[in-house]
Amino acid sequence: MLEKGLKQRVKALNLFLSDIYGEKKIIKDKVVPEEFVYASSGYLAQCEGIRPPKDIYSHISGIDLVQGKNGEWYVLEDNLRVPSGASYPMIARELCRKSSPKTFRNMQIEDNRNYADLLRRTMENVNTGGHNVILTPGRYNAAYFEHSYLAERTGAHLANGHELTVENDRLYFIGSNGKKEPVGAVYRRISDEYLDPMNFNEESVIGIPHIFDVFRKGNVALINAPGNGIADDKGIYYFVPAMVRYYLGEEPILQNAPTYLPFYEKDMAYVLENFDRLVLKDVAEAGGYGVVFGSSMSAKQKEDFIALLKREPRRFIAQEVIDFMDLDIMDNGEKVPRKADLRAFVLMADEPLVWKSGLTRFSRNPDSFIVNSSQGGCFKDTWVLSR
Amino acid sequence: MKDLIFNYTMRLDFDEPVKNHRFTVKCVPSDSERQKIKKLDISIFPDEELSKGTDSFGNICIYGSSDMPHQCFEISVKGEAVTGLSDHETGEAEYKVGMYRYPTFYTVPGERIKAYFAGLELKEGMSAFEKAAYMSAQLHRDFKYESGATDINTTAEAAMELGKGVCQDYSHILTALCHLAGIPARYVVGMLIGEGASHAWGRCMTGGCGMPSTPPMT
Repeated sequence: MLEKGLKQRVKALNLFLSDIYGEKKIIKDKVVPEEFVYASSGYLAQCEGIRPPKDIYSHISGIDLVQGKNGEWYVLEDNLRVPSGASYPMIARELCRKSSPKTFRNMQIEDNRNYADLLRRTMENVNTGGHNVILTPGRYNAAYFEHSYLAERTGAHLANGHELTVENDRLYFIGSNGKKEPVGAVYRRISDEYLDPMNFNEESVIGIPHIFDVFRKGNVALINAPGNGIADDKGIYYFVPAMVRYYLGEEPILQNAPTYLPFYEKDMAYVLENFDRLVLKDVAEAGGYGVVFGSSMSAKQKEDFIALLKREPRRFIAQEVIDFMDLDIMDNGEKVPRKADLRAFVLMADEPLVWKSGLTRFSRNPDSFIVNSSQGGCFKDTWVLSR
Repeated sequence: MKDLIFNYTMRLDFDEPVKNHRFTVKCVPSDSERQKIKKLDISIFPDEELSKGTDSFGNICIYGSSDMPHQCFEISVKGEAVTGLSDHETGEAEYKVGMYRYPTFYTVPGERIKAYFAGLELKEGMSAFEKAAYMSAQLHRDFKYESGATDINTTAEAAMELGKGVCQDYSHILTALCHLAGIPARYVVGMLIGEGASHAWGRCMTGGCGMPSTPPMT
């Protein structure tokens, strides 16, 4: 069920991206209001009219899910830019298998060692002729381990910006002997902003000048495509179930956490009435910033916030606080319950592929809902049972 | 209709030789309903490796690289154009216009621009074209042309606060005002007869009958 729902969601998100940077039928048909697109920092006008190879935008999607105490799964967030973390369950499994091989012989646990194969298949599917490359900002990046590990496992070249160059509308990898080899697909682990100083942030020294022009001409695949930020924007998240209906003509299998857009009068009325039990998020912020709980505000703060909400209703979304399931973890030799979420990886190759594993993140702090590794969260291996 | 001969040259000199040089230039006129380019001759130095493309805003781009040391960069674009084929351009497809209803970094309206807009007498029943022309005329009256007061990084709001600036600032402010009035508008850089340097103006997209891009300062 989860697998079907994930494939459905990622298909719809890809169609949305193709539509937004193309004819924008979903805006014309008033399913998504245009201000949620154009006023979002995730929308990149530079990407207008570009068709990536095979029309795939989000090759690797990280969908963050939580399971409520009622057993129901909810999507908290879609990550369609450069979702990281797949290497951690790969490593965790490797260690688990070594320390207890018997567990994996006796239990019906899906083998997760195929991620590199799925990733290679995803790169090959859109490769325009040439090598596969994993582009890293370098060894001082926090995720450098993952970049090098995935390159080793997929057989792709690991390169930094200086090892790639553009000539005559083609991208080349400069080998250690100085020879230039054509590149057909780049799994880039740097954000849009730093990708190409000639087209985005001109101060970037980690990008490759003109790589975006090569992409525009269809001579290289960028994984994931630039401009995806518009589809994983907090304001746009609200519309994902509507996108599934609009593009696929199907009922969404996976649910969003119940979300309200004060932009709509009906939702505004609900938000004001239930303010104390909702969490409010600024759509322009990320990484846990701009998140406030109605219940934790003083009367004065609440009054100010409501005034702001009425002035700039488009800026916020409101969500029910989900009481999600605890997971047992070991803390100093003791088994204790902690909040956890699951990042599922969906790869878009010739067909959507759901990796039968994922990144389970948990909070070490007993009072916290925040599982991000940057905020002290940890991870576990994720077992998908085959029975 | 008018036949024009145009000739544009831009040259950069460097203090010392540069190599691994990457460049993009957007200064090639394109065909439109209002003009046809009959002859075009582009020369660039250095010209080791050049490509041509069109960006998402419809600009013709010439880009390339030079790995050999060189101490200057020069592009010259010459040719002949027939202009005045039409006094306006047909409205673009709605889906191409949407993005021009929202501000960019330079055209975000602040308190000053909002207050100025509130003080304008836009009457009901005025067409989008009339509104844009009126705002352009008002701005021309209220904003002082003064070179050196602003620079290329000045935003519309900052220029409005100063009350003076150059064509770029007029255009940014007019663009912001049009957005506030619900009219899609974009910033354009181009050439005017006899100007001798590049010039900027706001292009207001007023539906089927596009505004003949009148520079707000001329």
